Amino acid sequence: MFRWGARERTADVETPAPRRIVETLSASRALPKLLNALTAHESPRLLDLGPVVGANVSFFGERLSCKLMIEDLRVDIVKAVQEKRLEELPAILSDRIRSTVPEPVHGVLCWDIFDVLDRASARALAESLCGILRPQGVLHGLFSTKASNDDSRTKFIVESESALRCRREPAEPLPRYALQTGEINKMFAGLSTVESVLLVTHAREVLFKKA
Amino acid sequence: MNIGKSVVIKGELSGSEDLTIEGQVEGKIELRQNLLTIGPNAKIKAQVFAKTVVVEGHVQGNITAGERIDIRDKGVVEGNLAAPRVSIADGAQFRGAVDMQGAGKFNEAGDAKPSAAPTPVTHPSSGPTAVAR
Repeated sequence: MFRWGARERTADVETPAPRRIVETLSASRALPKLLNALTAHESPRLLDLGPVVGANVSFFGERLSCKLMIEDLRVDIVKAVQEKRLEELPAILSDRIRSTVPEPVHGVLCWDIFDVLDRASARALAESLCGILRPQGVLHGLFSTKASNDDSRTKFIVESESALRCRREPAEPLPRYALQTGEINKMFAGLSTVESVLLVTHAREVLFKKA
Repeated sequence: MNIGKSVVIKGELSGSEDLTIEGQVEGKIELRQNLLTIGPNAKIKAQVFAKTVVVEGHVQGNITAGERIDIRDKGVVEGNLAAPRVSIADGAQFRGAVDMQGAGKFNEAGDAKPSAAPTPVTHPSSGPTAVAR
């Protein structure tokens, strides 16, 4: 007897579903203000806390003719978590910032780094970053509003002067912490808030400025 | 000109024609008017000066280019980059500082020394490079 059509699929061995990369485009109100503040300086110095995104390097380099220092702190965080040395992380991060940045900078790009820091480490990093900002310097950060324990990270890619592409992709598992707006403002008490807005991805985008 | 896989050079390498390195170089490379290609098998521990630098292998040291630095997807750079145009492909690894104010702004020692292993680079598309015009 003949059977027509496609052969019936037999039960396959269960294979893990490929981990998905999810992308969302978000309008940014802070980004134009960040660029505005930085263009006020000739050859601004900018610290990027990673991850290294080729498109962002090109964007900031081209628009601002800046010097961009890239320091992906996630490497240190993953190491501290894996080695169960979380209590040392605040000092590790402060040292890293001190050693990377020889002189004050005009701007800091934090992206999502605060999402993977416990309170003590987040406070220590915020304090270090406030310290390395020049007067009138600006700090741009994105803060998750939902705590989770997943194995992905969000990469923010500058799409245009007023849009960010948020790309969620697989990464080493790290606990993700959520910070309330009040906590964020308290951590950066030495800076004033220029912009604070909730993106469609539920991340809070904040731009701070030093007096 | 091509420097093959089995060649190890320690010292200063300079010239006035395009060069591809597949071997190992330690010291200094100067091709200020030419294209330098650091091939996938190359291991460079040197200060690099060229008109255009394409990195497909491993470089430890600062790179200065008069026109452009292009780090391809398998390229690894631990050092600072100085060039008017810099492109870093998705998958490349980089740790250091990028200066696009023009070539030659870093001093020989580099003023933002990379402090740990390089990290992979992400680019929004899976295309080969993102070129800063």
